[in-house]
Amino acid sequence: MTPPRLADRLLNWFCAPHLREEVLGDLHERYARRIERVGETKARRRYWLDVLAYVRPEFIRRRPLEFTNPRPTDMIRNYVKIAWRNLMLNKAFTAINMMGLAIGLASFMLIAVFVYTELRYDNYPSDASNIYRVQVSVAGNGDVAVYPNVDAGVGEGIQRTFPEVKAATRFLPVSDYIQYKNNQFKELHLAFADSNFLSLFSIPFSKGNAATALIAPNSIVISTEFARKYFGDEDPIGKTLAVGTQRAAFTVTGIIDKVPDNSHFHADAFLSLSSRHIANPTWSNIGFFTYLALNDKADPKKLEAKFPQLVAKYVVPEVQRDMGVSLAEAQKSVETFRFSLQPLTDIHLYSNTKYELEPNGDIKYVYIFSALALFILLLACINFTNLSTAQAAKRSREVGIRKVMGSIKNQIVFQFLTESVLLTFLAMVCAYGLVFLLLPYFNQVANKQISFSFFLSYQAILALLLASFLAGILAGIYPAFFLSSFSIIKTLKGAFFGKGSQKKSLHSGLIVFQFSISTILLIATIVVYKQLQYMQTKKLGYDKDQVIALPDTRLLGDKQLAFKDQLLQNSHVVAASLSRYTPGGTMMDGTQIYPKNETSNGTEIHANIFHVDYDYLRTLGIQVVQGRNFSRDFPTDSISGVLINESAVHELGWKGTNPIGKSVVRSGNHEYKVIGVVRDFNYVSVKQKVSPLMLMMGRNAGGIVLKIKTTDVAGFLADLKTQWEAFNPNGPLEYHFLDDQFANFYASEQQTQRLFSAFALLAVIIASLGLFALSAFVIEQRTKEVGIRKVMGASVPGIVQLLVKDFVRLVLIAVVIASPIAWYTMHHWLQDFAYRIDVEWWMFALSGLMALSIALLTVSYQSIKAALMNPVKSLRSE
Amino acid sequence: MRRSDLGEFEEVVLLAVAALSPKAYSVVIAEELERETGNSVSTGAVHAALQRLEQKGYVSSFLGEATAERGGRRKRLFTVSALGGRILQDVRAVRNRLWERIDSHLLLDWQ
Repeated sequence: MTPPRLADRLLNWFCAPHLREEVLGDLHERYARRIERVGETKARRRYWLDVLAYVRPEFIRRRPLEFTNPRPTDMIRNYVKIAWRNLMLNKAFTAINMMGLAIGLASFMLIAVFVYTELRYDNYPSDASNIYRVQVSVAGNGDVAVYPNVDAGVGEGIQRTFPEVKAATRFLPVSDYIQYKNNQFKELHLAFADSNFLSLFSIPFSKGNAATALIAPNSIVISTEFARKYFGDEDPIGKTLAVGTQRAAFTVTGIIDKVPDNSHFHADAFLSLSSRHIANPTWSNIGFFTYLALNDKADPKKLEAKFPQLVAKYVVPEVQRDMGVSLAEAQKSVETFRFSLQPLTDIHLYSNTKYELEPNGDIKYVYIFSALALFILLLACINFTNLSTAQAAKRSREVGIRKVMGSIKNQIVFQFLTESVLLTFLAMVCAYGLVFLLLPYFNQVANKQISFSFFLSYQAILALLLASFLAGILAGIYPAFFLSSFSIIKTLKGAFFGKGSQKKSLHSGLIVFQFSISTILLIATIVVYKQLQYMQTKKLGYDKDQVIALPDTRLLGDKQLAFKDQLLQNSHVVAASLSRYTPGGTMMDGTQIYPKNETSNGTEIHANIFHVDYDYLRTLGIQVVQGRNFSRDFPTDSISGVLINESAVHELGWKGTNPIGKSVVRSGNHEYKVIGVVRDFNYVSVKQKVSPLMLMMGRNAGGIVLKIKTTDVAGFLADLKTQWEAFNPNGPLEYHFLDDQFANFYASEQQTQRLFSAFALLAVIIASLGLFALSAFVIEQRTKEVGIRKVMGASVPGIVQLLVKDFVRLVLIAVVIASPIAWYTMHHWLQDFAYRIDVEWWMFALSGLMALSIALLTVSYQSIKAALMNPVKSLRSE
Repeated sequence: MRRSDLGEFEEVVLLAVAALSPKAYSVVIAEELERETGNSVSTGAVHAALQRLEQKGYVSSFLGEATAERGGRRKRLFTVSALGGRILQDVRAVRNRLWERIDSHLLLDWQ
């Protein structure tokens, strides 16, 4: 019986409220009459038409209200206006607040983008979440060595055995000379890759066919930049490049733009892996970075659990053959040899094996820097909170008047929040300017390529608006509630100044917090700096000054020895050794060895190998502590003699015995006699402990190490070049100084140190800005007190001391709080280093002193100004 | 005499208000007009016309009692004001004069 409800709702929506009653009444009455006359169906239809007949302006137009309410926007306009006037009224405070917030927001932006790029590593392949890198970990002498690369046969073997593996591909980084006509360069970032590598990683081709480019032997796919370097404007497709000293011809079959920046590998050219004839792919060595693509449904953990059966099938026989051990002995490999899967997208932040393709990031630093970004923003917010509450008295009358006029508490809260959000938005605009200025330095320090346009994308702007908005709320929430809680009568009577103790403790707490953070950062900066200095100046056990490595004398072919002898004629050359192996260099061999003792064989260990000649120890100043160096007097030295380092003696279990004359056996069942022990020298970064090393004769050609003694290095190098050219080499001379190479080891620590110093500086600036403004305000309030004190005979130093004392106490408390926290964190940070400094008391003292003197400087300016003021002036004003 | 602002529909509605007085409101007027003319007339059109008439001062209105079939809503009752009555008489006089001048033969032809 009731009329259509939807029609009624429609009418209620468009019809002006004051007409609804009569209109709806009319409609219903007529409906009722129609039902009696024509029945319900027709009445309903007519009802709709009747409702639509009311769609006329005279029924839709709302009646103007007799007393108009202000629109919500009117109030906001008023808030913004008052906020703006307030900001302009206290220009100094506004500037300090805004500068602090702008610095905070700018560093927040920079760190956010740093974290963002770190987290987005290797996500560019379309199938990224299904790609895994095969790693192998080898357990031995209580230690597990993890290698991010495996042997040639592993990937293909896994794919053949397990159907959930869709594809396997290999990547083998190399560096070699490349020549086209007269252009010859040494390329450091080349790679042999399987034909499916580029398509698996979704690296787009600008020319050539991605599916077939790397199938044929002697094919090469190059990047656009690489193509320009060799071919200029020519079309490279189909042209041949000469690779290596043998000048093997490789045909260009494709061009890629480049490997994305956020990749864990970067190669300028990919050579087809089919060019290297791997007759019999083995399982027990390493070298090939191997990636698997799994099915969507495959579980990597389950797959990993099935790998030991492959170890038993393929690795065990090889170990038995190579090491010449019994089957039972070889069976142990099933336990010690473990293949595992590393998700592609985790490689950059979570994998930290010693043999990564490129230096990786660390999830720890992502956390640390995220925390730093938030802290710095927080410090800036605290400045605002502190200054706003300190100024509360000035605003209390306004709050009183507003309340009398009918403002409720929420409206006043809203007003003050509008004010703080307005300020943070202004600060955000400044922050954009700061970021624009600082981005080049930041890119340099953080080793990133971030363009300013990144910050102009709408996602970035939205995210930053949100961040500024939240920062504004955070900074303003306390002052807003504090100011809105004033009682009307008290504020209007001006009796507000009475109780300030509660407010003061909040100020104190916030200052202590700010200075604690600053002090922690100062201590961290000092510790990182000292550790870095320690690593750079640590005695390494060899001589790295004025040592030149020529890594590519293999370009001379069989004239290398003659070249070395020629160099020795030069009076500036102290010593020369034919060897490609240098401390801190990239060349290193390794093998598994075990000691051959009289009774039984000891446990197997991993040892690195340097292939050297008779002059190596003398050239690098490495000391022999037991036995002797290689000697031409003993012909067997060059076949079966070996020098080991102290660490090897220790790990072979020979500590306390005389190792000279004992034997070690390496894979392939070769036996070597120890003729001498050299003092441990840091042949890799000081971050790691010196691990076992064998020095062996032979297979050393290909590079030369020179010890020189000259004040005219440039002249010597020029001379070196002419001599090189005289030998008609196959390519240009490459050289580097050992100490430069050594410095590169600590690039990531240097980066950390620079970032820490920058943030410590920012934190200190923000904290002292806040302290400056707050002290200015507090001291201004005590102007009369100072005047009276002076009239009563107080001295200027006495008054300064009085004013400064409170602040100094707060900073001291901050230092006391900061020290244990800093000690704990830095102690943990240092655990990553094999050779490290101790955190000493003077570091705390020094940073405490720095914090204190900064605080003193900021506060004392205001204090002295107040103390020197003529009391007549301060007392006259009322 | 300004009566050019009285539309034809308005005139009919005004007459209906006068005829149904004192119980004239949208529903009964609309029904009455429907019955008289045979065309369907919506309350919306009538109500709009009444509003215009009220604006011009030809009718006045007040809220009457509520009934059950109106869902307890009150109705707005209209009465013709003095000005409205005079206008109606003017209109009628004009028409009457014109009617009287029509030739009687012509009138016979139309029937």
